[in-house]
Formats: sequence, structure tokens, C-alpha cells
Amino acid sequence: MVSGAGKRQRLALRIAAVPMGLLALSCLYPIFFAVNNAFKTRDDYMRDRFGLATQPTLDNFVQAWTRAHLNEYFLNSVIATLGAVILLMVVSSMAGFALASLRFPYRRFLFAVILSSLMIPVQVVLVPFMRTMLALNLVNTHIGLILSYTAFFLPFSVYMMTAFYSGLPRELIEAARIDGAKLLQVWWHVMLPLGMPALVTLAILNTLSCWNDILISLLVMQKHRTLMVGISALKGQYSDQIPLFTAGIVIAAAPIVVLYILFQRRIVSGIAVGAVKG
Amino acid sequence: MARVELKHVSKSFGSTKVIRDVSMSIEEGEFAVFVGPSGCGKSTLLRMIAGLEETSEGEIFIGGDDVTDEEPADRGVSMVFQSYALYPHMTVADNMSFGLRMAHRPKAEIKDKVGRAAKILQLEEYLERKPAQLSGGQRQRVAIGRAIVRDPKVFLFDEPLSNLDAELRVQMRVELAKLHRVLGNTMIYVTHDQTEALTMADRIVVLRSGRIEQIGTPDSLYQDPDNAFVAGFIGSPRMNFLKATAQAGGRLAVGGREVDSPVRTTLEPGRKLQLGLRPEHLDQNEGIGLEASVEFVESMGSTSFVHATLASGETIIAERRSSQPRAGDKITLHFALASARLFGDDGERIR
Amino acid sequence: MTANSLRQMGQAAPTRSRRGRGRRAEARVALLFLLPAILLVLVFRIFPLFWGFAISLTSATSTDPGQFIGAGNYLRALDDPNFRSAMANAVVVLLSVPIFVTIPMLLAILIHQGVPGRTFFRSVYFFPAILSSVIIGSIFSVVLSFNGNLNALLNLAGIGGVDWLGHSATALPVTLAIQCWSTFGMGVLIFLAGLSTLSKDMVEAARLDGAKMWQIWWHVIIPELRPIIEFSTVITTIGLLTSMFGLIYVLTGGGPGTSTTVPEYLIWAAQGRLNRPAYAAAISMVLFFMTSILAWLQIRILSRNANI
Repeated sequence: MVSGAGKRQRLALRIAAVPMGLLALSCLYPIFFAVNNAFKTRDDYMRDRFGLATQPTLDNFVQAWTRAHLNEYFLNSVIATLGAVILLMVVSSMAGFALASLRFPYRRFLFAVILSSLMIPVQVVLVPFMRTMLALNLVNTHIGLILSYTAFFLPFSVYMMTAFYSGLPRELIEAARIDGAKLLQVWWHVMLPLGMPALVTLAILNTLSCWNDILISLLVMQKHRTLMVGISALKGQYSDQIPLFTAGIVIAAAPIVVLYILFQRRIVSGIAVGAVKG
Repeated sequence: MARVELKHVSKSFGSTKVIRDVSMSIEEGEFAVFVGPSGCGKSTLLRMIAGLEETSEGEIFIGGDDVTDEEPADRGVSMVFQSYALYPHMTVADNMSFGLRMAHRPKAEIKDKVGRAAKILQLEEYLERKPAQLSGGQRQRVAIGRAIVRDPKVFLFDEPLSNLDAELRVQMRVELAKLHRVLGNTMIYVTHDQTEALTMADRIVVLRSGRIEQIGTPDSLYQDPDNAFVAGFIGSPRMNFLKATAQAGGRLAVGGREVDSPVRTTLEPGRKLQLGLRPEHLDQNEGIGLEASVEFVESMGSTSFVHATLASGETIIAERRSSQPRAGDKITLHFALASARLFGDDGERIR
Repeated sequence: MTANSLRQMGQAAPTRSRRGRGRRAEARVALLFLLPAILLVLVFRIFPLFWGFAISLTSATSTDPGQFIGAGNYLRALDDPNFRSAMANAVVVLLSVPIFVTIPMLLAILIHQGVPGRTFFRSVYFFPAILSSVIIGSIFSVVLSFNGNLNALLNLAGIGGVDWLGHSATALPVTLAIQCWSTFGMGVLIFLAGLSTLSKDMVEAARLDGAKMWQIWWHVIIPELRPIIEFSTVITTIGLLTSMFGLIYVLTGGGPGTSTTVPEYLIWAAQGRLNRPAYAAAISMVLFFMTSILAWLQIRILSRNANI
């Protein structure tokens, strides 16, 4: 904070707090809107758009879960997200270990290759990506989606783990090797446990990315839809049943909101570190 | 317990040669100390023996086996790092047992070996703690314990006491010497502190710029240095080197006067030489005298070091145990001829 | 040289035929550790990039591999009203970047200055950034619909409602506003991080020199923030070109007409609805070209700032 704010400035800040407060409320309103209306019956919603539910009901949630198949979609999202997050942790930790601590030819080149793929988001390779999935028989498979997520969220994770492992003293690995550990043992017994702080942060950030994804799941999984694909379909189907629709939205957003409330600091610092270093 | 031999070992980093043609052998059960100024290559040499650095040329033998191309884990060595390199996420017991666990040794054997090492190092009550909860000295003992547990052929120490405060360092020096007596393993110890070298070593290897200057017992290095570098490096405070010129008839001109040559070798008159005199040998009451004018006196309590200027203009440091002159005093420094060491202009010792 | 008390060893060192065995083993394991990452990136992103370029030079459809037509798709794009629309919209999007950068900067400044409630603001502003674009799009599609809450609110105030998303004039600005709403929190974070590294001494020196607060802001602090402003501009631009898909998909489906079709969305439409994958691949290349220039710019900026 800039020191010695004068009286006039303090007044100005107080005045500024008003529109800023309104902006903050607007940030919260949409979720409030969704949650609020999810509990309303149809008539309730017709009668009073803005107010709280007069006869709160859980029926919308039940309907969304069953009739609108959100239970299936939820499960698909969980499988894909969990699988991808775990795979990302393993692959990025191994790659980070090799890039940061081991000596081998073309090290810098290979690091650049991984990082440069950041320049290739899904849209840029949309058509060939689909054809690759078809050719590999991975369309409409959970494995296919997991591998796709991993491939598209890998560069950031590898970058973070490489940076993290570079900060570890090289003597630690030397001591382990003198102690007789093979490199795989060094990774499992030393690098993985020590990398946990960074890996947990990455796990949370990757969970956000995978859970929220729409384009990749649209391309890969039409049969076992993920939650976000399901919600986008919901909009067309139940456009006249707003409470049902909002219940679906709440179900889809709830895990992420919970994650944010629990891990806000980690999420913020993880993104900040990534942004600053990038 | 094994013998270590180095045959014509060299190492280059790119085009820079950091270890030049080093050959030596360290006997079974010997406590050898590598010592030298910063950048002399002592740590590099140690790491080459450990297998952490590659050897560009030459061979390394441990226990008669050629280990030059072997992985560190296959050489039968243990190393204690300057920073201890303890695994921060493991308990003391897990730290010490790590090597045995990686080799899938039976649990009973692991427990036994860790227990014994913990006993020798008095770590028994700390076995379940993590390194962050230990003091510097305790962490160092854990690092030593981790090395002991594997019962290696050779123990390697890379400046293990550098991170400790002075008092602890003195204490640990004694502990390590005792440890060597108890365990009897071959130990190679790297330090920049020549006091550590003198007190702990069976034999000292003095290194400079990647080359061995001299190998010998502490006593022989102190009494009988091969060159001016070793003479100046060993012993604190540093040996005085006075400019001398050979005269006819076995005499030398030094410090503003003439003295007999301390060596039997005939010296060509006019040859430029260096006469080495240790400060502690200038505390005599009789013998050859050098006139000097006192610049200042460092008082250490039990003894003092007098910084003085000779008639020749050179600075000289002399130890004074009994009397303490003052700045500006004119004094005479006496020494016995036998305590002087003669070196050529190139630093080579003349005997 | 020196008369050591050692034993002189035998001949000179033999040739280095077995040298580096340990090093080679380490290299092998390291490459094995790196293999999954490299493989994934190669198979799903890098190889497709080149394949996509190849496809863009053909007349392929989903069934027929088509023939080589060189720059045919690209030339067709220039005449295609969809493409022209998309590029025009892209220009509109790019023109809005200053707003996307300035709003977070101003908010960060106010928070840094100590506006009351700033800790609350900091965490709440970031909240929309974690929501999926599908969630955000779904909620706003209801709120902004003609019968939606916003119009109801305006009606209460006596102003007539507008079909925000159904009117081609308002659809794109509204979409951009929603995108800004969902991402500004991230920008506030970045600027706050930058502001925290500013040297207090410089500001105090300026105050002693008699500068008023706003003068200090304009002449001292904002110039110091220039690296972050540049960084944020590039990040925002790349983001606007490549992360609006979900929002558009749910909110407007590219419409009405092509008023919210941007290159990113056109690729999807060309591949799916219009069944012209080769054409889609060509537009992908155009998008790649655009983002590459921006990335190159970013690297230039970063390296220039790193040398300061």
C-alpha cells in the first residue's frame, strides 16, 4: 500500500469502494442466481424471478441427476479428470526430474519441444487431432479422453516440475545414487515425495482445467458425454424449465466451487507463479 | 576396508584441465586428507573417486578392482557431503537405512545395522525425528551414520565440518578421529583447513591447481616440505620467506646480514634463494639474530605474534610466548639454523 | 617433479574405450523418463500440426480424402462471407483488448492503494475465472434472454428490454463483456503481483518532490508497470483468440447469423456443421499464424524486459 494516503485520497477510495462492491456482487450473482433458482418449483420461478424460493424443493436436482442423465455425465467427468490428473502428475514429475537433474543429450531441445507445444491449442489442430483419435481407435473411449487431456495440459505441468526440481540440491540425488538407489528408485522414493507440494498444486489446477473443458470432450467423447458437454445439451432440451437447468448447472459447478473454497490460496499462488515465470 | 589407487588420473571440463596426472595410493585403513587452496581440485578428485564425476584419463582402483567406469553405487563407497544431503522427508532411521532398503536387504539386518550405527553416534533417541528437527551437529552425525550403515570399502568426506561453528568443529574433529579408530575403515577426507588436516590425518595430500604438491605424514610435511608452497600452506601462521642470496664459502646473505647455509648442497654464489622460517622458531633467546623493528603486535592471550620489519625491508612474523614488545621497539629475533628451510627461487626445496 | 613417497605406477592411461558407460546409462534412463511426455506431445499436438497443414492443402471431406488443391482453401476463405465475418469480428475482439487490460489494472491500483474491502474484492473478483465457460455461458444465456432477469430488471426501471444475445448488433459486445467479466480477476492478480514489486523509495521520492497522488500514478507507477501491461496485453490477446470457444458455443452458437463467429469458432463450424474439414484446417493454420506472431512478440517483450 502506498504510504501516507491523504484525507482526500481516503475519501476517494471510499467512494470507489461502491462501484467495486457492486462489481464484486455481480461476480457472485450468477452463482447465487443458479443456486437460488435450482430450489424453486416451476411455478415459483414463473411467479417470482428474483426472490428466494418460497417452497424450496430438491426435485430439480433429482430430475437433473436422473432424467437428464447428469449422473452418467458426472461419472464420465470424474473418470476423465481423475485419470488425467494422475497421469499428469506421474508424467510431469518424471519428465521434470529428467530435465532438471539428469544429464543427457538434446536436453534443452527436448524441453523446448514440450514447451513449444503450448503454441498448439486444440483449435489449431482440430481436424488432424480428430483424425488421429480415429486412427488410434480412441474416439469415445475414456482412455482416449484421458490421454488427450494429458497431452494438452502437459507443458505447464512439466514446466512447473522442472523449475521445482531445479531448486533441489543436487547432492540429494548424488547421495541417493551413492546409497545404491537406481534412478527409478530415486524418482519414487525421493523426487516424488519431495515434489508433493508442487504436484498437489498442479493436481488442483489440472482438475480445474479437465473438469471445465468443453472442446476436447466434444471432439473425443460423444457417446459417454462429460458433464460440460451434457450441460450444453441441457440448454437446448430444457430451455423452458429454468429451475431444472439451473439445478444441472449447480451440480456441474459445485465440485469446482468447493475446490476453490478449500484451496483458494494454492490456486492463486500456482497461477501467479506460472504467470510470473511465463 | 580397502586400498585406493589412482593411476595417472586426469580430468578436463571441456578444454580446461582441472586434475593433472594424479597418481597416488591410499593404504587400507588409512585416514588420508586432501588439502589445498580453493579451486585446487580436491573436491573434484574426491568426487571422481566416488564416481560422481567422470575420469577423463587414467584409472581408479578400489580394493584392487578397476572402478573407473563403475557407477557410484557399485564402487563400495560412502560419502558424507558438506551440506549433509539428508532426505528431508524421511526420519533419521529411514535416512540411515535408505541404502539397505534400496538393496532390498532383510528387515532384521537393516534394524541391526541401523541400531549399531546409531549407538556409535549417539543417535538412538533421535531415530524417529526428521532432519528439520535436528541441530547442525546432529544432522552431521546422521549423515555419518548413513555412511557407516552400508559398511563401505572407503569412506569419503567432502568438507563435512565447514558448516559448523568453530566450537562444534573442534569437537567433531575429535569425534571423527575417534570414529576412525573404532571403525578402522579407509577414509578420505577433503578440507581447506590445514589445522584439520594436521590433527586428523595419517597422511596428507597437498594439492594445487590439480596437481599433487606433496604426500606425507603431517609431521613430514611440517618438518620436511618439498617446496615453498607446501611449506607455506602447512602451519599457521604462515612460514616467513626471506629473500636470500648465496655467497661464496657456504654463506647466505639474508635479512640484512650473513649466515651459514643450512644445507650441505653447494650453492652457486649469486643464486637467488628463499629462506623459510616459521614464526614459532623465531622465539629463541639465542642463535642467529635478525635485527627488526616492530610494526604491531597481535596478542592472542597465551602468546603473541609480532609483525616486524627487517633491515632488508621485508616483513617478518615471529611468535613471542614470554615477552611482549611494543610497536616501534627495536628487537632481535633469534633462530636456530637447523630450523631454517632453504628453497630455490622456483620454490623447490634445497636440502 | 617432486620426490613423493608414493609408488610410481605403470604405463600411461589406456584408450578411453569404456569411458562414459555410466553417463550413457544415465542418459538412457533419462530419455525413458522423458518418453511419455514427448510421445504425448508429439502424437497429439506436433504431428497433427504438420498433418493439419497438409490437409489444408487438399479438398478433403469427412468421407473423401480429396485432391491436392494447393492454396485453394485459403483463396476460398478470402471470398467466404463466413470467414470475412470471422475476421471482422476478430478485429473487433482485438480492439477491445485495451479495455480487457485497463480494467484489471485500475482495479489492482485501487486495491493496492487500500480501498476498503480489498481482501474481499481480491478473492471474489477471481471467482469467475475458475468457472467453466459452459457454466458461465449457460447462466448468462438465461439471465440475458429476452424474458430473462436483466430485461426484467430494466423493465422495472422503466427501460425497455433488449434481446441482448439475439440482436446481431449487441451479441458480440455482450459476449465480450461476459468474457471480460470472467477473466478480469486473473488480470487483477497479475497487476497486484507487479505492484507489490514496485520500489517504495521511488514513490516517496516523488512525493517529496511535490507530486500529487494522481501525478505519481500517471508519471511514475504506470510507466514502471509497463512490462506487466505488455505481458498482460499479449496474454489477453492470445486468450481472446483461443479461449472463447466454450462461451460462444453455449451462449450464441456463433450467431445470430455470424455476428459472434470468430476464427476459433469457425474452425469448429467448418469441420462439423459445414463438413469442410480441409477448409477448417486452413483456418486453423490462419489462427496458428496469428497466435505465433503474438507469441513471438511476447518472447521479444519478455527478453527485452529481462535485460532491464
